[in-house]
This record gives sequence, structure tokens and C-alpha cells, in this order.
Amino acid sequence: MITTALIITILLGSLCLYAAGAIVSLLLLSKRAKSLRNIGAHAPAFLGSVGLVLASVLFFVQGTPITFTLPSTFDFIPFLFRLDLLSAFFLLLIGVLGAVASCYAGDYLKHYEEEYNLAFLGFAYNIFLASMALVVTANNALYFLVVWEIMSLSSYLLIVFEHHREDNVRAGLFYFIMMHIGGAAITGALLLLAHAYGTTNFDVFRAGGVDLGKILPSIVFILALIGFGTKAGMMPFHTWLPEAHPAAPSHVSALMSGVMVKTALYMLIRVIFDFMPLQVPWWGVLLMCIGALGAVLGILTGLAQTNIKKLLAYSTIENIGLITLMLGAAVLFSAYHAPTLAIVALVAMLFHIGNHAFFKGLLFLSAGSVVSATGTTNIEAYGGLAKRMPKTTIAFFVAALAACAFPPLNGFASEWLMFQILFTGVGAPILSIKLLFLGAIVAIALTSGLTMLTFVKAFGGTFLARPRSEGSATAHEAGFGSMTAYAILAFLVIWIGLVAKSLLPLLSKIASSIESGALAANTVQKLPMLNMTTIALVMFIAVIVALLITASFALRTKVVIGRTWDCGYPLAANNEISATAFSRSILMILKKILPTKKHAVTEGAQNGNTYFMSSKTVTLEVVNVFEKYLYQPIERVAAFLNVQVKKIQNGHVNLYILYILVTLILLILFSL
Amino acid sequence: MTFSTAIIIAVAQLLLIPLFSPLVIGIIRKCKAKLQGRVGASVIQPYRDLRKLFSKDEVISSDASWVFYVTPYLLFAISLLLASAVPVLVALTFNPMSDLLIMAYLLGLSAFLSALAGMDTGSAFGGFGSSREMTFTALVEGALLFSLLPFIFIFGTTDVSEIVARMHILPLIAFFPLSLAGIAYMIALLTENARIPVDNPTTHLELTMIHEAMILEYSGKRLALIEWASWNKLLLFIVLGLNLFVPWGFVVALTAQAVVKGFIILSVKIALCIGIIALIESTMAKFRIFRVPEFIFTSLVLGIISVLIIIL
Amino acid sequence: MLKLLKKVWSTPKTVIETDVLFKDEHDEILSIGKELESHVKNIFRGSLAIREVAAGSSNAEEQELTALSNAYYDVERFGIHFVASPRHADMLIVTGPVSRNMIEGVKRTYEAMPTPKIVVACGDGAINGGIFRGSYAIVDSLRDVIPVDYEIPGDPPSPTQIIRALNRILGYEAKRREMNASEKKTPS
Repeated sequence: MITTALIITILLGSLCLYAAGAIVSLLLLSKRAKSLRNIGAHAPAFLGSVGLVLASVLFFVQGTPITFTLPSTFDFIPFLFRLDLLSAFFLLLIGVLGAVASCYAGDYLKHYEEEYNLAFLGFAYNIFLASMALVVTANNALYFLVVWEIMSLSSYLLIVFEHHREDNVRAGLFYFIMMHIGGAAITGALLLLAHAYGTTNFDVFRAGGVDLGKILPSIVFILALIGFGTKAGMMPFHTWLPEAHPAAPSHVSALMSGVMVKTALYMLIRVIFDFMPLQVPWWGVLLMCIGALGAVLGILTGLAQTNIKKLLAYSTIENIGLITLMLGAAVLFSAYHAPTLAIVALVAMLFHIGNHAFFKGLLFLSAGSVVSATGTTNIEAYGGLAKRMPKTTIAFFVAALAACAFPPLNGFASEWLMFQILFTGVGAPILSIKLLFLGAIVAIALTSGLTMLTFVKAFGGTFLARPRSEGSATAHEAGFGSMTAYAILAFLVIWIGLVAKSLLPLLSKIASSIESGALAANTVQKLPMLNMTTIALVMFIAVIVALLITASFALRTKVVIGRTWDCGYPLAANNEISATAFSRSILMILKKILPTKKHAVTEGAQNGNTYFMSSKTVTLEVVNVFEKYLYQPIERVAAFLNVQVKKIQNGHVNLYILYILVTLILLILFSL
Repeated sequence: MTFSTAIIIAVAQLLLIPLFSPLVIGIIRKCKAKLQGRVGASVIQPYRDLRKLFSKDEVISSDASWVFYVTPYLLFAISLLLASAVPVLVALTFNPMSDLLIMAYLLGLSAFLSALAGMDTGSAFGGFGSSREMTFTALVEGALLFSLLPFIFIFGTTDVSEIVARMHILPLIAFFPLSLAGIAYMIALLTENARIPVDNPTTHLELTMIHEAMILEYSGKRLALIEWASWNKLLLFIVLGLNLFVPWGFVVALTAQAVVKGFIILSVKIALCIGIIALIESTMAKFRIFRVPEFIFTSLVLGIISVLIIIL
Repeated sequence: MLKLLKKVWSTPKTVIETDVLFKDEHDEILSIGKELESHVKNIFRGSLAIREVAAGSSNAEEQELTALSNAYYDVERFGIHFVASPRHADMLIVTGPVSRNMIEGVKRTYEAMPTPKIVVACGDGAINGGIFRGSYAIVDSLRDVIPVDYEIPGDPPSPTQIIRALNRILGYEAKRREMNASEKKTPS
């Protein structure tokens, strides 16, 4: 018999372990403790994460929501916890990725030891993990805002960890500002709700029973969308993401991309489905449009990147887009009173959230090994790593296949479900909804094609052919901790794909706990899903048959190792196709959607004759549409207002005394 | 129908594709030769090519990694998987493979793998071949999906066996929008299978190659497997297209007589389709590379129009 | 338009077919071709893939080799075709005196071919430098660069001569392989 007390104990134990990790890190700040810092920070983090996994698995077995309170020193911020199916699902993701990342970090961070103080990292890292766990279990608006800000702050510290590099500090600052804008919107949304319900307790929000009127829910929705959308990296609030993800150490990127951005989605789901009595159709339409836009533009921008971590970050934006699309579909179905379809859409969304966490985690971790082995993030300087880092190659390969949604891996299972929902949506009786879903199908089809292209570029450019730089020629395989991390995630990516069908009942249970509970048990049974195990089996047999056919036909043949054939010319590494060139054709074709800019730098041209030169460097970059047309105008307006405000505050003391005088007179006049 | 008979039928059906795909290529080449006023190679020449390649040694670049070594086997396996998914003569209703999305993604997988293999040896030609192949695959995936969407919306399922099995209940009027989708499908077929006007399968000019550029490095048995796999893919596309867009004569009742009749009708239909492909290849020139996207977008637009007619 | 079609229809066929005009040659090609086809079947299982390398020739040999694939000679019907990569080839035909720039290229092409392979020097240029013999820019003979199995003389050899030579080459090759096989069976 699993008692509630046991689950609470394990959960609190995990949080205590994180706290212990943070405190131990602080104790190890002194120089003498250098060698202990790594283990001191990551061993507790690992154990704590395992605890989270354990707690959430036990909760899935037990099943009924748990609420408990911890004593608080502030009366107005009660430490209210609530563990239900949705939060347990996110807790599971945090736990798995946290454990894997901690495992990986012990190995990966070794090359940082000399330059940076790992104790700082360990402190922020443990706080970060703990705050994520607290965010998904918080049951009070003010308390939630506090832990949310702690999460933002600790992730900021992690982003600027490599503070000797100016880019990282700038990226961190950008992230910080964006998070504050988002934080303001979230605060607004939650306080509006708190005002309407007269309390900050989420339980009351959930119970409903208060007439919110017509306009308030929509205002709350917009604020929540801006706030959580900023954190989740939804277009057009995504701009911090491709800057911050590459700046952070890779295991942190994996955590940020895998779970941190998802915590925002968690809360968005909560706000839309749990805290609002009714959903409005245009929310769904807006979400679907944002999602489709984010998916297509995200992957298209990612395609143009030559920084591997940026490329992966854009792929995260794309996947967040797909998830948002599904959320929109769920809201739309729910608003039109089709709870069964809404639940299917939510299942697809949750499934993709989980799948993306695992494969993107694996991608970031293996990319991190590559970055630390070669000392650069530029794909152009990689090449030939398949021979030097064979296990990392396989890890990245598996994850890339899953990211491209190839059967029978986990990405395919959720993408299949998404397609089914969109197909169903086209059957809707309203014309505009039909067209919306049709548009979404176009977007998702284009996205999946472009994803393949992106990952051929990422994998091929990184691991195949010959090394294109000294760094990649002398690269070495990562150590044991990384291998363990790869093994766990790769296993999950494959295993979830194979047993997708049997995971659906659990997911639909979670989904139906959010969407108005009116689900009959038969919906769970009716969920469409392919039998992926059979498919994998058939695929396996097909490969065996191919081997057998070859073996039976090709007797007595031998393999000779020779040189690459390139029309008789001696090949150098720079004859290979570069990452820029690889994506050039598609960017040229789709430049109407996403304009590109080409920079060519010619060196050694004689007498201005550019036909005879010693070298020419061509870079192709996409124009950052959002920055150009959205952020920069806002920035200009803000700068203009600042200048105007400055006129009032010109530094002369006598002017300030005048202000005081005027104010006094005015106050006296008013009080009269 | 018991499980074991279903398996036997499925396997027999599956074997038809690799058995006859070289013949189909042979006939296409023969037709093209005739149209050029040549006698041309025998229709069984592709079988001879395969047999010779299987008996030859291989030279593999020292730069190649395991991706290069395993890709041919995987490509051939994928073509077999696709063969098991497509209902050739008989539609088996509980076939777990026969899902249009699985097929679309398997096609994507084969492009993905062959593009990686093309890049693997570090040859300049392999690299740009991969780039072009992936560029067009990325676009044509959507076009292909949209040419098949009308069926998904008519029958409300993505199970291709079920769709093909129920094709005979469609009224004749439904084939008007479907004919538009059929043209879209034909364009997707030519693009996916690297035929003229998208790619010239017989070209010797490396700079104009798309598919060929990726397999320049292969020799011996691995080359044979890749070639065979791509031939299988062509035949599969033809068979699927015929069973969907020209479904008349598809076996509905499962008797020996009906199957034989179905086989003959299908052969005639394939022969006609081959004739059309040969005619297109003999009368058209290859497109300039940046005109191919227009060709694909034409297909996409036709697909969307057809879908709109169906759902509105 | 109907008028035009009618005219097309009513125009008598005045062009004399080549197989009437050059009946002897045509018959010769066919008879050699048949033999050639049986050799190709015998040695290469009915499929001979040729890779051609122009190692500095005056383009004369290339013209003649290209003619092999046209509608008149049409070697494809005998199971012979030209391929785009030495990796796919069974036979390497090199034309022209090997210019110094092409030495490396020819060597690499030879290395790139999988065994079993046959190397044929086609035209006087490839055999001994031909009219360019003694030039500072060439190595006189292909034999100095890679091992050559057979030579086809002529400057340039006509397509018929090439077909004839190929037939003989494959005939020798068949005999050689038979001998090798029997040697293997009875080790002395």
C-alpha cells in the first residue's frame, strides 16, 4: 500500500537533497576544495532527481491528488503544495532529465574546472532543479510567483556561468530582461485571477463558481500567453531562446530546452483549462496560428544556423510550436464542446512534450560532448567525428532520427497522433475552422520536411566525412558519465516509441484530469495508435532479409579500402560541402518566407581584381524578422521616451526643490 | 481469412515488388530507346546489371564511417517495408504497416539515410547531391501528403489498405477532384524517384546530378542494393498511384480467378503508366534546379485544390 | 492545322533507311554484336559497364566512343553501357596521350575501380603518344602510368573498329579466365 505520506516524504526528501547540494556547493567555494566541487554539487542533484522520478511514479500508481502545506514565515505566502497527475507528469520529466544531466555534468564539466569556479554552478544548478520541481507543485499564486522568479534567476546564473565570454553575458542579460517582461505579464494574469476569486489559492481558482465576466478571462489569457509564451519560447517571444541556450553549459541547455520551457506550458495549460471555467474559440485559433508560425519559422531559421547549439535551440522553438498547435487544437475542441477530441489533442501535446524532452535532451548532451571535444560550436569546423567519437555519434543519430519523427522512435508516435487530430479537425462543421486545420497541416508537413533537412545538415556536417579543423581531428570520446546519460536517454527514446500504445491510457488519464473530467473510460480505449512494436519487428525482419539477400547473392566478394573518388582531383577537407552551402538551396527557394542576407569577404584580391584572390569567406544568415520589425521599433520608442523623461531630471538641485515646492502647493490645494 | 493465410498473401504480395521492379525499369529504358529510334538494351538488362554488381568486389573510401556501410541495407529494407505497406493485388485489412503516414515518413527516412551516405565520404559531389536531394524531399513530402489527403478525408482513415479496399464504393463524380490529386501525385512520383524533369537518371554530368551524385561512391553489392531499392520505390509509387487513382480492376473478392484477373489488369495499367513516364522523359528536358520548386509547388497547389473540393 | 496534318500524312517516305544503304556494314555490326553480347554474358553476366577517361586526347576518340551509344551502333543492345563513376565500372577506356596534368587523375581512376577490372588504351595517342609523341607535356604511353590490359589502335578507331576490338578483347579475356580457372583447379 502506497501511502500519501510516503510520496510526500520522498518529494520533500528530494527538495532537501537539492538544498543540500546547493549548501555543499557554497561550502566548497574555497580554492582548496576544487576537486570536490563537481561531485559535491552533482551527487545530491542526481539523488534528488531520482527521488522526483520515484515520487512521480509512485503517484501514478496511487492516482489521487495530494495537497499539503509547509509552515511559512510569511502569512501572505503560504507554502501550498499540490501534486496531481499533470504536475506528476512534469515532475517525472524534471526528475529524469535532472538525473541524466547530473550524471553527464560530472563528466562534462571537467574541462571547466580550471577556468571557472564550479561551486557557483553547483549552487545555481541545484536551486534551478529545485525551483522547477516547486513550480509544478505550487498551489498558491504568490508562492508560485516566488518560485517562478527563483527559477528565472537561477537559470540566469547558469546562462552567464561562462562569464569570461562577452556573448554569454549579453545573452544572459537579454534573457533576464525578457523574463522580467514575461514575469510582469504572469503576475498581472495571476493577480487578476486572484482579485476575481478573492484569494490566491489555486484550489479556489480550480473550483470556479465565480462569474468572471466576458472580458476578464480573455485578458488573463492574453497576459498568460505573453508571460508563459516568453518562457516557453513561442514566436514572437522566442528571441531570448537561441541566444541563451547556446550560452549555457550543455547539460543546462538540455534541462532548459527539455523541461524549463515546458514548465511554462504546464502553467499555461493550468491557467487555460483549470483556472478558467470556459474556453473561448479565438484563444485556440490564436494558439494554433502562433504554433504553426513558430514551427515553420523556427525550423527554417534553425536550418540556416552554423552554430550547432543554436540550431538545436531553433529546433526547440519548432517543437514548442508543434506543442502550442496541439494546445490550440485542444482549446478549440474544448470551446466547441468536443471534450473527447480535446483530450486526444491534449494527449498528443503531452506526449510530444515528453518525447521532445528526451530526444532534445539527448541532442543537447551529445552536442555538448562534441563542443567540449572540439572546442567550438561551429559546424563548419567539425567533420569526421564519427570515427573519433563513435558513441556520441550513435547517441546523436538516434536522437536526430527521433527529432525527424522517423518510425519506430518516440517522435513518430506523437507526430502521428498530431496528424490524426489535424485530420479530424478538418472534418469540423465550420468552414473557417476547416481551413485553419488545413493550414496547420500544410505547416506541419513543411516543418517535418525541413526538420529532416536540418538534421541531415547537423548530423552529416558534424560527424561525417573528414575533419575540417584541428580541433575535430584530435577530438576524443567523452567519458563514462556521458555514456550513461546517453544510454538512459537513447533507451527512453527507443522504448517510448515501441510501447507508445500502452502509454496512451496513462496520458489520457492525465489529459482528462485537466479537461473537465467528463471522460468516459471508453475514450481511452478508442484512442488511435499504431502498434509500434509490430512495426519495429517488421522493420527488423526487413533488415535481416536485406542482409540475407546480399549474403546469398554476393558470394566471394571482398571490400577494398581506397580513396574517395572525386573525379581524379586530390581532395582536401574544404572540398566537402559546408553547412552553409548545404542549406543554401532551400533558403534561396524559401526566401519569400524568410529573407536571407549573404556576406562575402574576399581576401588577397590583387589590384581590386576579385577573380584572383587567396580566400573568400561567404556567410549566409537569415534576417531576424522579429527583431527587425517588432523588437527594434519597441526599443526605439522606449529609448525616445527615456530621452523625454530625462529632460525632467536634469541634475540641478534647485530644479528639484522647485518640483518639491510645486508638489507641496498642489497637495495643499487638493487637500483644501 | 486466417492469420497464416494472410501472412502468406502478404509475403507473396511483398515479393512481387522486388521481383518485378527491375523489369519495370527495363521496360522504361526499352520504351525510351524505341522513342529515340534505338533498339536499346533488353528488358531484362537490369537483372543482369544487378547480378553482375553482386558478384563484383567493392572499393570503399577510407573516410567512410559506419553510416556509409549500413545505409544500402537499410535502404533496401525500407523499400521492402514500403512494399509490405502498399496493397498490390489484395488489401489486407489488419496490416500494421499500411499507414499513409508511416509510408511518408519511411520515404523521408530513406532520403535522410541516402543523403547522409552521400555526405559520408567527403566527396564534393556527394555533398551537394545530398543537399539537393534533401531540399527537394523537404518540399515534396508536403506535396505527396496533400495528393493523398483527399483519400484520408473521404474515408476518414490513414490506413491505406482500408482505403484501397473501399475504393470501389466511390461514385464516379468523386474522381473529378481525385484526378487533380492524381496529377499532383504524378509530379511527386517523378520528384521522389529522381526522374526527368527533376533529375536525369542516366546523366554523366556530375554537376547536374541529384540522386546519382549521392551514389557515385558506391560499388559492388552495396550499389546493387541501392539501385534495386530505388527501382522498388518507383514500382511501389506506380502501384500505389494506380490502386488509388485508377482503382478499377482491383481484387475485391479473394478467389484464385479474381487474383489472376487482378494481376493481369494491374500489369496492363502498369504498362500504360510506364509508357507515360517514358513519353514524359523522352519529350521533356530536365528543369533548371531552381525551377524544380515551382514544379513541386504546382503539385502542392493541385493537391490543396483537390482537398478543398473534397472537404467543402 | 488539319491541312498541315494532312500534308504530313500524305508526304511519301523518301529517306532511305540506313540499314538499306549500308547493308553490309550493318550486318557486320549485328553479327559482331551478337558475338560480343555472348562474351559479355559469359564474362560480365550480361552487363559491361565502361568508364571513359579522356587523358588529354584531341577529342577524336571521344567522338567515336560517343557514337557507340547512338541509334546506329547502339551498343546498349549488347549489354554495354557507359557509367558516371569508376566505382560502377568494369572496364576503363583511356583515350589520348596522358598529359602530365592527367597522370594523377588516371591513377586515381584506376585505383577507384573495383576488381575485376579491365584497362583498355583506346587510340594511338594512348598507346604510344600518337602524333603528340615526344612532347614535353605528355607521358608517351598509358602503360607508364597504369597497367594496361588491351590496346585498340587507330587515330581514331572508328566505332565499328572499336566494337570489333571489344569483341576480340572479351574473347581473349574469356579464354584467359578459363585458363585461370583450370589452373586453380589443378594446382601444379
